[in-house]
Amino acid sequence: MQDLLDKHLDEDISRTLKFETTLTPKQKAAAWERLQARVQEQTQLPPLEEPCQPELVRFRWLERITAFRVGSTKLLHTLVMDSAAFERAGTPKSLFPCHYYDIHGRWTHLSIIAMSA
Amino acid sequence: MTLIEDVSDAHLIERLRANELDALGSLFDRYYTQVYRTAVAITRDNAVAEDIAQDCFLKLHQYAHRIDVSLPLAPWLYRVTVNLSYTWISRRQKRKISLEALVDHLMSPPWTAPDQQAEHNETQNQVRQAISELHFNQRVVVVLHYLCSLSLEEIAEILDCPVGTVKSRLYYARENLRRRLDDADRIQEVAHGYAGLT
Repeated sequence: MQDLLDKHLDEDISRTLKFETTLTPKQKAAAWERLQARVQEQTQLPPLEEPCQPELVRFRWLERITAFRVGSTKLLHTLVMDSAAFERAGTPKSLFPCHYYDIHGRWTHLSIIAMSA
Repeated sequence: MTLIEDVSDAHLIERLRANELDALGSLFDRYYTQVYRTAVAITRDNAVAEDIAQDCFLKLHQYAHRIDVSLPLAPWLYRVTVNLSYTWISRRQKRKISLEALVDHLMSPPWTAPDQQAEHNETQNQVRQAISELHFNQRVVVVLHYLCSLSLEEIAEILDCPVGTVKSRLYYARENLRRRLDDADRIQEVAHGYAGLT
């Protein structure tokens, strides 16, 4: 029953809107005449410029690739070449109370401080 | 000879960019009626709807270089029509008009010729009045859905809002219309003295 009422309502709305908004060929012709006159007084706007240049995009990609390469190299170097981190991890701290980490993060003997001081 | 129907909108816009008025004429033939009818249904004013439709095609000419020809043209035209209608309605609401003029506007038959008026039945008058009382957002959705036969997805694209919002507006618009039409029926029954006889 509700579906039937909904259908009737839809039909009423559709019919009313379509009936009430008719346009005669005469009205349309008059509108075209008017539009032609107004269009001739108006100039077209130029196309919008591209917001992003292709060169700039390529440059950004190059920059990202370079940053990734440098970062990977540093990480590899730290893991493979620099043994300080492994030494620190492998050495029991209680056996070497006079050792400490210097400003470069390296495991250093206390005497070095005395020498440098 | 090439028929107008055979030429794509994109091709006509390309020609319009070269300032060919024939191309504008073809687009006018193709879309003017839809644009005008949408504007009439939203604004309820013939003269204003004509102005809005004119402005819509003027913008088409003016912005020809900036229109994306890979997309269909109809949603762009509907969007401009809805925006121009909204601007007109909000300006009218801000304008101070006398109560008498307002009553005249509401009571007068808004968009019909005198010979058509005789053919109106009571239901159409009620529906027309109920639609005109809807909130702008609901009215636009109703017009685009029932007059232009657009899907919810297409309306969402035109109004630049989620499909759920369109669905909700359409639902509440129909509920409002149903309630108003029921009220109008009840008033009529009372006026004719057969309320409660069933």
